[in-house]
Amino acid sequence: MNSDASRSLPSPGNDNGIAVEVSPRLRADVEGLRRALRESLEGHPPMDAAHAGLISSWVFNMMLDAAYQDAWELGREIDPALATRQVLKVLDESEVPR
Amino acid sequence: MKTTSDPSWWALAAATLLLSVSLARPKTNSSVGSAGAPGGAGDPIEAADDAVSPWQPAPPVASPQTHAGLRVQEHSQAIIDAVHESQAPAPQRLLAWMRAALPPGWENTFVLHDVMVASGALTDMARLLSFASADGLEARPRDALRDEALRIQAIADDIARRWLASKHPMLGDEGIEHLLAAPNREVLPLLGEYNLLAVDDLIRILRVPVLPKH
Repeated sequence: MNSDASRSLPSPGNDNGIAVEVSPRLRADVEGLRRALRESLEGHPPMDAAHAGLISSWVFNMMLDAAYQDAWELGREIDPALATRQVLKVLDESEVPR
Repeated sequence: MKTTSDPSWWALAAATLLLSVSLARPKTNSSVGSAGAPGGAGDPIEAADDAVSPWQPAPPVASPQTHAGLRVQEHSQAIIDAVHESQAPAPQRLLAWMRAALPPGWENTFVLHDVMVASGALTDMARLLSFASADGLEARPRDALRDEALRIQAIADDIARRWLASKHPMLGDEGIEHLLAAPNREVLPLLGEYNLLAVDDLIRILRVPVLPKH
């Protein structure tokens, strides 16, 4: 778990400003995880920051893992920066107002 | 892992098409059953065509006849090897349950990977949330959970339950409960090593409700 707040949040695009590609399976995995998180939190009161960080890190790691699965399947190198951008892209594009 | 330029998406699309329209059955890959699937060689396309199979429909992520499917199968086999080498009873029990309960061809999906990751992470979360070490419950950290820690663990369990049920329906409700309850040390690298974002950003991005700071 990385708690270095000085790191900047990458944009959904890559370093060259070119849109990051996301496979349908990765999109479904990330959206499925976010849905599971949202539904599991329903009816629960807010939690303290430490517990929220633990849950958030775990769920985001599973989203990254879905991106790594895409890389394995396609025979690509595992690229944490690309995986992060792919996940952020899905979360950004499928954002549902609450 | 080497990078290849083969048209894997076309292969995956072809496998999906084959699965969808039940075309001619491709020849069986002789290595499919080597990971211990019940009944030896498992052909997911053949299995999906079996109307009396109790686990239908359980479409695999990829067919072993595709490059992508073979890579996933190799990955599953690597996890199986790691489980055997670990000699840890909990992951071996999980693996034995999966071999007995899941349909042929499960090695061609990420179900083993996801189960091991989820089970290991939930066990580790219970260890972090509780005072398992102090209570002498290192091997069974869930038994050391109390009060708020128990509530947070229940949320995490529910997330895993919903996610596994949607991604791997072949596991079934009973199987998922079995997997969630099993204490399991990680046999895979900790995923957090690759996390590049700050925790505060993750909380905000995923909209996890947080108590206001005093």
